[in-house]
Amino acid sequence: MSEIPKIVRQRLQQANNASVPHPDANVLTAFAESSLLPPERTAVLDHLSYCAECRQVLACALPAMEAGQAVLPVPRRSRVSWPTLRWAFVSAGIVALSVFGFVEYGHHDDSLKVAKNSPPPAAIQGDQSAAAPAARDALSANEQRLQPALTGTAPEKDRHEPPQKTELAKDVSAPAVRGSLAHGPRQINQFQQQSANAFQTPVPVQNAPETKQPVSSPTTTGVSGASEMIEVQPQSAQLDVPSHPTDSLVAINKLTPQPVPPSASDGEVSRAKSAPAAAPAQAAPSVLEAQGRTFQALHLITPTWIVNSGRLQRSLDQGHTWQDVNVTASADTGATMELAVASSKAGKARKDKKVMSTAPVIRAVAANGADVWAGGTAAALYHSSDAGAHWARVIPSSESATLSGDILALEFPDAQYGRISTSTGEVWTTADNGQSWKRQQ
Amino acid sequence: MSSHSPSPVLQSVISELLPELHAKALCEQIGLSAQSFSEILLEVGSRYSASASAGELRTFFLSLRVDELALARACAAGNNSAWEIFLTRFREKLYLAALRIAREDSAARDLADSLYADLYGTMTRDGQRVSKLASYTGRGSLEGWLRTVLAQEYVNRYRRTKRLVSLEEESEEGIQFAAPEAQASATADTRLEQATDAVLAQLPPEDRAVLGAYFLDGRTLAEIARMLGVHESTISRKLDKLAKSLRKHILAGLTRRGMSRRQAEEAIEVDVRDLKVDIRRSLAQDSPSGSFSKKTVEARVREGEG
Repeated sequence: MSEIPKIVRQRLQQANNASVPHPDANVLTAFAESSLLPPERTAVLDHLSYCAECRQVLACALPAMEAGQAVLPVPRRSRVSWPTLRWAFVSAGIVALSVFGFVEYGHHDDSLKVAKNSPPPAAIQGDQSAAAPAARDALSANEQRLQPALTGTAPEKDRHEPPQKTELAKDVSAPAVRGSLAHGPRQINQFQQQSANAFQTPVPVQNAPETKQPVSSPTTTGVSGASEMIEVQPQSAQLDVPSHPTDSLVAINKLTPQPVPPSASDGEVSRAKSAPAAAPAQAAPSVLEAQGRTFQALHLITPTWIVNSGRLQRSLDQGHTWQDVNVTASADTGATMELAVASSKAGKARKDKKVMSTAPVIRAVAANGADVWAGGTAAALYHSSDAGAHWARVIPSSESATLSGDILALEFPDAQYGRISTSTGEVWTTADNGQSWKRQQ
Repeated sequence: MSSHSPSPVLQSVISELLPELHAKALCEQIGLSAQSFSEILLEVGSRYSASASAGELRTFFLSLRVDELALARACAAGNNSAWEIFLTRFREKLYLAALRIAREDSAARDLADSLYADLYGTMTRDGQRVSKLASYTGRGSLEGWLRTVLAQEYVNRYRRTKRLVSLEEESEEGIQFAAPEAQASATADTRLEQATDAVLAQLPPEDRAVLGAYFLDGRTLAEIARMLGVHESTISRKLDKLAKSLRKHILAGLTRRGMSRRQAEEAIEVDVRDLKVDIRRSLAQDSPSGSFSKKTVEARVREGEG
């Protein structure tokens, strides 16, 4: 920007000393909102031209450019933090690759041949279910869980993984994603090269099945073998399982000596997954299970909360979109939080009705990271310690009294200390995050 | 609030629009009678303009945010259900706005709390509680008004603390920061200032406001654009144009005041701050102790006022 002569600066500054009454806050607001009539607007502009204070007021009073942008509190470390997730992704990839390699090593010639002339999958379904129902159950369960996890997280890995893991993880992620999207013969070749490489090079992955087997009992070995087989299916299912019924049948039969209840094999899968991973990956099963659920994102972002016409609303994207949150859904049933995502107008109207019918009218909300308190009519006080995923009703009471009336205001300046005021003029405080309450006066 | 009796035009316009405005303001919800609402309108209208025509007044009243006006005035009158609505709607927003202004949590809470005290009306005047909400007239949105009031409070505080700090600094460092303006204008060639003032006075107010905001306050183009409700590129173009034309016009003004072209160009290039330093030095040599003690006394007097 070009400069102006210094004398202009000086004279402009000089003009600031003029002492005239400032425009009223009403007029300044109307000016900022462009709702003044032209003569009034000119008068305000004239004042602004020499009043630095009013210019500053005007600038300070500008509405937030993007609602909530500047006001988001610093996100706290949530239960599952990025480092843990990172390790979980890496370990999941390692497990998938090692198991794939382990299985492929046995019959990679077959699967290559088979993928080229795929027969109808219906027949295979029947065959499979007849042969190993337990395995199939576990398979479908795993398919649901692992597929989104792998496809969804692979690109993340490229960005976030620690340097020493890069090479290995890339090997894992690239074929896993491609394999689930396109399954041409070329892809299969790649798979085989990958798995063959993985098998030949003595990476820690290879140790997983071997080190595990001696430790576990005979039955568990069989089970874990089965589950590892299943483990592979989600990404390679399109490649070998449907196309070569007999072969996969053999594999399953071989690895599953007796029918295994799905739940047991499911649990084993989790254990098999975490076994080869390093210590930080202990959280892997829980992370994978949580994948794909609506509120997974809560652990990564600190949401913003507002109360809008008696409803509690939460924004995960710094105020661009708001979701109604029903505090009673999980408090009553203990089930997963019911989320009414109100993105479209029509959808909003419909969901509102639903939420309004079950939820109390919320008057105030206070959030401290993942710790959220919401209060409303008829002494309704709800607390969530996981950023709104689960809610529990809290009824503040001391030895003699119980909180009554509508909750009008909530203040939780820190995680421990809180203060509630009600329409009946009561003030309740807690100094231990809601464990005990004291009524003032 | 008006001392003189309201004009008949105003009264007739209000009685004409009252049913419509009363319904629009949702007064029933907060239990505000038509009678008290018309009194509020009368006060707001007479504050707007004493000599407005009926048509202007009608436009004015129809552009008011009557629902928020009614809410604010009901709160000011101590209506409990109105307060409840107000807190539900604005409590969080108010704090967020304070946080945006103060940029720091504890300062923001402090700022928001002090505004709450004002809104609730802790000051007693004639034994009566006067709420700041009583001064809201519905000309802008209530939320915008709250932000503006917060900003005013913040700027006032800032000015207060800044003055205290600078006074301390000044008394520590002696006369180094003596007020230069008065001395400079007393001795420098006034033709340059006259020419500059004349050029500035000819500019439209908006241009001067933009110049001040950009060159004095250091606002960004985006901020100025949002303050004035125009596009950023408009401000950018305006500033470019101004920077070019200002110099030209001041030079022209100087030659008109009897300077040669070269003198004028030299005069405009003189750094005013250099000039001031020279003057100050010469003054200091004359009576160093005198100017120091005078300034200290001045500072004490101002401190006492503050």
